[in-house]
Amino acid sequence: MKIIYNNNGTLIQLIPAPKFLATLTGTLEEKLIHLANKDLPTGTPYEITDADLSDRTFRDAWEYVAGDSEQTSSDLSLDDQLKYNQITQEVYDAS
Amino acid sequence: MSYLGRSAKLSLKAQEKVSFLATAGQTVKTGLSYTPSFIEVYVNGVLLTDTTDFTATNGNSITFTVALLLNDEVTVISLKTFTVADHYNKTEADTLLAAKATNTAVALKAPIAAPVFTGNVGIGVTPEGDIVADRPHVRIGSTTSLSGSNTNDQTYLSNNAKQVTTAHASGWEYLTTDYASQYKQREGTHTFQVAPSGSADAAVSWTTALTITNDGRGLSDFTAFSWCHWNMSNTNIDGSYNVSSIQDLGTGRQRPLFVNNASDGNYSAVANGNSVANWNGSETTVIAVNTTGAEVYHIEAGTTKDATNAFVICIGG
Repeated sequence: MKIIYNNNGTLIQLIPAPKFLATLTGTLEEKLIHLANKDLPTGTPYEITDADLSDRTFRDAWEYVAGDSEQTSSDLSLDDQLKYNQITQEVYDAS
Repeated sequence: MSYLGRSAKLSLKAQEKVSFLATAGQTVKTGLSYTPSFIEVYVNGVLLTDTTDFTATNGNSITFTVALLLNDEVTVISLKTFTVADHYNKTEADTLLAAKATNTAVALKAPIAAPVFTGNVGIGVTPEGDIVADRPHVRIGSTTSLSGSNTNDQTYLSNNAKQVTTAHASGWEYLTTDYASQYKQREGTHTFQVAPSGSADAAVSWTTALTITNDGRGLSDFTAFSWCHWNMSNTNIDGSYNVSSIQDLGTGRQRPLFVNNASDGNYSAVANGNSVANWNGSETTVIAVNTTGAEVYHIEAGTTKDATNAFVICIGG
């Protein structure tokens, strides 16, 4: 399973690291949603898919087309943002 | 006085008897040896009363109150004290018995070839009752624990921590109000963990300070953050540490995204002197670092990164 999203008309894949997923709790989909919220800019439309995109012959040829299962990345919780060093302790304390 | 059926002259000399016939008017008998108050005097078979009938205070003579008559049969028995060689007196025996009572736990046990303890073991301390059954502890003193699992491959040497549930990460509590630390061996990996000061019996939240992987890499969560084991052929990062995902940009660029962002700003560099945003060229090696990670890659022509020939060095935040 991976996350795909659009970047100026080009499909970008976000391949999860197995060891990182192992640190998360919940279903695989819940873990991937957490990963999307962490590694994608907030508000980025994306889909979770198991499509085979390994062919790099035309690596720029893939295009992202929004499907029924499209989701949008959101902010992590403040605790998670602090945990991942995305905000400082000062920002966390002030929030 | 003799013992029943025995002569008074016992070899141990518990008593000494002197007999003589008195002369007319005799009042003193000398040449004796006795201990004052330990003497009996008989005259013609009649036991005299001490101090009333005679005086015996100097250890070697007695003085009769009434002068003796000629041929009065006088018997003087002096009671002797004695010591038996190579024996313990009461005080010495009491001391020995007290010492034996103290050491009973050790002295009464025979050597045990292969002891098996079914529960926890305490050395200088009684193991806490809430230690989870599947994680037997050897508790040493007030804050040391050596523990393992009955069912899984894990070994722990802990300071100020006890395991109260089987959850290997979250199942620990503080022993006393203080900091805690732990060295863990699990699944072929060495892990050094630390925790801030917490209250006794509160849950411990471990932070991994250093990991030594099975293939010998040392990974510190505080310094060299991450290790990226990147297989470019099928785009996976199995075995990577502190990397959350690969971002495959579809233009020949792939980059790892680290679990933790850098905390001290953005950095970038290009080997041929160009900026990261203008890395055109050929046969160029590009180094790019930002808050989410770092990458080193190779460009053969134009702006297209050659994934086939790319190599990547990951540097965490």
